[in-house]
Amino acid sequence: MHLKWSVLIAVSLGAGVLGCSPGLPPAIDVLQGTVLYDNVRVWQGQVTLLGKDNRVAVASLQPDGTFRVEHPPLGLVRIGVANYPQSNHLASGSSARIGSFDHRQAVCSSAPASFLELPSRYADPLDSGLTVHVEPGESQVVVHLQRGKNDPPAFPRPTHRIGVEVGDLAPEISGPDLDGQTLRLSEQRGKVVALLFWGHW
Amino acid sequence: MADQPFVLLGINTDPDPDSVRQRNRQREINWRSWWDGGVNGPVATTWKVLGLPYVVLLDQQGVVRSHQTNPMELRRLIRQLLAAPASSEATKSPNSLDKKE
Repeated sequence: MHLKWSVLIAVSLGAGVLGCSPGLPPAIDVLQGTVLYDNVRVWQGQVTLLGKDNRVAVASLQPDGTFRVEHPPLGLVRIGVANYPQSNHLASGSSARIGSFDHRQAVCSSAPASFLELPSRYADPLDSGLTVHVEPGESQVVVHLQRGKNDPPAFPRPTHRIGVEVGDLAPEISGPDLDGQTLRLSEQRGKVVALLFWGHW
Repeated sequence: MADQPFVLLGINTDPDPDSVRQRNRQREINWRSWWDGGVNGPVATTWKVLGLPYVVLLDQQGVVRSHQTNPMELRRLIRQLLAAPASSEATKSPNSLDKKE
């Protein structure tokens, strides 16, 4: 499968930091960035920067979808983006993939409910195909992760309360059904509705 | 229950929608489903679904009345809701569902 290499935009800001008025702290190199997956801001995960001099810097993606690195490697920098599940699921050695099923019990693994899964091909800066150009001073970059046909869905950071309790009004579910017909949960008022989360597996 | 005001709607968590459609035909699955893109999709995330399969029962006003996976209990709750459509009062105190009059 051919995937389009990511489009990378690096915009250098603040080229004129030299010659600032006296009294300000000495200018340092700062890289600020945003990661988009399928054009949705990535609000969880970790960005790894690898410079041509093999210097490595790591930054966490913030809930607002940005990351910030002080003293980043400069010049052409390779980037990896990954979202590792919290806790030590991966350390258990049982399964490398979060969200996988135990077929014997047909039970979903206990992945965090709001876990944004990213394609693993973007994790390693050495083969992610993602690069940016980092200027001295302040730089801003936008890193685009493309979503392929079989990749997990992108979704924005949930802003509402997670979890639906007995007594709550059901949040709207709206969109095409598997046959492409629009289906809205709110249009079922007047009926008793059983919502079944299921799969063929 | 075909003549009753009841509907079963699915949120499918399989990774590939084409394969779901194919297997729905093979297995004669007759309920409508949204496709959630995988096990950590947006709907399952919003509803905080941690285990599958998972059933949420809504009353006629769209209020969540039960998270229930026991088929017999589910059947009982559905019949109860159909027999006594939830009043606005019941909506405010959902626990009344479990009280026998």
